[in-house]
Amino acid sequence: MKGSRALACALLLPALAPLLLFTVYPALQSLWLSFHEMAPFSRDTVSVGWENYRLLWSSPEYWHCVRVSCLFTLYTVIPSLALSLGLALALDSNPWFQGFFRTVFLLPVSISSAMAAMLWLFLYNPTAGYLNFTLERLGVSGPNWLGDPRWALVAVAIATVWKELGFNIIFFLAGLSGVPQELHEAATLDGAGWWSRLRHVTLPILSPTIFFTTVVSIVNSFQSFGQIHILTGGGPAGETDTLVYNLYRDAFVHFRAGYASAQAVILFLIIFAATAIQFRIARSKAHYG
Amino acid sequence: MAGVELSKIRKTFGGTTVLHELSLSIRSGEFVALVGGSGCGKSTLLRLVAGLDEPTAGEIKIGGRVVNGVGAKDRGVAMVFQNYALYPHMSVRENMSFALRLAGLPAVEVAARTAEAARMLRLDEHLDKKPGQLSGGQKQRVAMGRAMMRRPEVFLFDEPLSNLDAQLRVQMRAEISRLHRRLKSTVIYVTHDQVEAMTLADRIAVLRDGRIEQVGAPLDVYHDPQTKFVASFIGTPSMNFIQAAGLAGVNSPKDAVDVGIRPERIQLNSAPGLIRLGSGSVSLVETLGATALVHVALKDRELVIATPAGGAPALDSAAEAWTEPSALFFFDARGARVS
Amino acid sequence: MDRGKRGRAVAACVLFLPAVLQLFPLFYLLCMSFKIGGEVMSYPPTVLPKSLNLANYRSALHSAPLWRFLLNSLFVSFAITFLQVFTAILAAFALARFDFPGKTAVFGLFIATMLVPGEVTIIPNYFTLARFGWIDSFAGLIIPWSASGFGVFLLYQFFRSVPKELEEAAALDGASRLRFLFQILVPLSLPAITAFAVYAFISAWNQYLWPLVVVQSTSMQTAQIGLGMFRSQNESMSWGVIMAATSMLIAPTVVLFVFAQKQFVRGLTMSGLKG
Repeated sequence: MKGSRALACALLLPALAPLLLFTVYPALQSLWLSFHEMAPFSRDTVSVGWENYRLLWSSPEYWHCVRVSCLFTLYTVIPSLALSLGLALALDSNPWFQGFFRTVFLLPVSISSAMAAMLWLFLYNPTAGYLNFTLERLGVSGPNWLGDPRWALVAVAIATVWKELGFNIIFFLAGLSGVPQELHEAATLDGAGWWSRLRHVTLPILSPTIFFTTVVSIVNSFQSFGQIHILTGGGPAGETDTLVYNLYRDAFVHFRAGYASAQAVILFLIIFAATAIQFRIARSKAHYG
Repeated sequence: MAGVELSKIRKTFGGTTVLHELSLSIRSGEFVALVGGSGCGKSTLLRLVAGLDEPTAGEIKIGGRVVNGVGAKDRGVAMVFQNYALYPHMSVRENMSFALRLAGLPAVEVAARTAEAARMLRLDEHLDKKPGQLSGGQKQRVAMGRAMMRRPEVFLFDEPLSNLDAQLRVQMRAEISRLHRRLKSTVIYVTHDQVEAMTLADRIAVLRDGRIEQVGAPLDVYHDPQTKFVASFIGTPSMNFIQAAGLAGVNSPKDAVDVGIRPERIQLNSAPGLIRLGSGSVSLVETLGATALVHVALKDRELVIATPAGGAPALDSAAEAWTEPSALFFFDARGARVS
Repeated sequence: MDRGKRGRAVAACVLFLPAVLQLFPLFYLLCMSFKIGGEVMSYPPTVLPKSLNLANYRSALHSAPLWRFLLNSLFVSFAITFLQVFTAILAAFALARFDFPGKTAVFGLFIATMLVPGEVTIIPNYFTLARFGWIDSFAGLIIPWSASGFGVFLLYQFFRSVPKELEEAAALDGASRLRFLFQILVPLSLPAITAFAVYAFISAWNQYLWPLVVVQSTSMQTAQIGLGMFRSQNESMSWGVIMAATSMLIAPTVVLFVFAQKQFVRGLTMSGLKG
């Protein structure tokens, strides 16, 4: 049905105007700034060409941040996906207290990452924290979670998984509700047990959801900020210094706007690439929709 | 009531032409069925009349008024959709009265008309249910009720029965027929099911590739098909075709390439004055009750023959096929009828 | 039948331990908020408080204008939610149901805004708002967040799944396009709209960096910033009081989520995000 173009424009404008002004324009400004350097404490800029990108490329610290971000992604995305898929499957096949269990798993989603981090700060406390106390009672001597360079990133990852788990569960529950009951029944009649039904019916149909969730999780983990800021501040010994955290420090602590902007552009490109792949694959799997 | 006049309608989507210079005139109060295979343009034509799309070229008149550019709601038409298109969050009553409420009719009038339509369609006890709580046939009746409420000049039906099971389809067919006799409204009815078209319509228009192949009363189209396509499309089981060259003892017209014979006009026994169509063995017998469909495999093709069930030959037995000369339809290489 | 029961029992057991682990930090927080004085830092640490003492809540409310922070946050979050839902409904309708040149580009633009890291926009937006004179005002807290690319995308997905015959039937019934949107499409899409509204509210409530930059006066603080301020001003204050304040500030989103989570899941399920 054809509608008037004027009406379409009028409908788009209220959403488009603020996004253009407060998201697109700053993003373009960052792109521009990434080719410039700003003198500290003034607003004068000097064009420096690709210098900021060259600096980043040859900076061992930046490559360290790339490594930390990749490790952080590994530590959060894989456990979070495996756990949430397992829990969603259990939730889906468990009619007892379903609402209760679901609420419990989704609850941390509603809390800000800053608040969640505060909570974990206390749980991780080496003396009064309940985590190490419990481990000790189990006969394990817990590490100094946030102070030990070997454990800090893992500790941040655990807190992140705790908070993000519910979000993935929602998507998997949504995906599972799209698996037609008849397929399960047909597979059961064919003599398929629980495991082979999972492998040959549920997972293939769920594969677009799994893929979608993976990409969203990767994007989120590359953007994680609040929990790192509160739990470790990038330390100890830079072991939790991710790309976003480094960007934040260069922009707001060291006031190197151009250098930080170049990092923002690179971050955007990484996230854009992940999303573009997701869209391409989602389209090719459209027949599942 | 009003007639509908379509002249030289053309419709293109992107680069493809869906309707070619199509003209059709429908009298006031007439029931016209548009039939054809999928993609022939019948639904597009209906949407043009409804005002849901505008033709690329040509003129549409409803009740003598040119309606090109007139909005759907101002054309005095109502439409029944294939998937019913009932508003899921509204009750049956709200669904049926939505248009009248929008038009600002007094509540008393709206209530009276709703009650009348509900009584006519036997929906009285379902008025407060939501569409999700209704059966397929009930939804279908609500969709018709919604269309009736506005007392339209022209009713448009887009494959209204195709989502129903066979038994319900027969019932609803009767219902639509009854309603048409009672309301005496103009109806344009799109279907791919030629049985629906034959049983309901005053006239049938057979469409193919965006052109009208033939328009006429159902029996005229059946007995006097103008093209091979119409001959094969109208009638169940559909017409048999054999090559004219292979037929002995017949004066085929000069250009004839194919010969068509309806299954019910073929006999398995010889009699004086009959023409022999060929012989072969019985490959399949489908018993429908009173009649049986006998498939006889000839050398290069299969004939379907409708015979009384009692006289059907056994499977794999030898059979000969005969028919009267008057039962033969001749078609030229382009599929046009020749005689 | 027997096997089915066993399967369900297994599933329930599988769920039990993770549920306890998932719930424990929040339960712990709640318990802490009732502990007084040295009880918080006692060794060995305990979980349950000695008594349900509300003293921490009282001193939290006394030592900072928490009510004011809460009201600010509620107002800002509701305003942002309303605006985001409203603008997303209109834009998603235009994208899903209209033909106009450049539609793909506009759609791509909405998607692209979801990918811009939030930290990037803070500084340029600060200068923009300074030009408008919106620093330290509700407008400054609300207007920059009045549209959401995610919301447009989510509702677009949902609107597209509503059969187009419904709109055609409505057109024949005499409904204008806007009437179709508000009387038919929106009521039909309530699960998705609710899901997005919950998401928008929680995101708005939990904003941290932006209010930190925009707000200057104490009376404009939102709950999240207020809590941070509260913490730094009261270094000596007991953890119990901080936890009590935190509990109060978490409560609105948690309560909202508990009541809305069913709709939330259903909305996402029906938005074409399923497998």
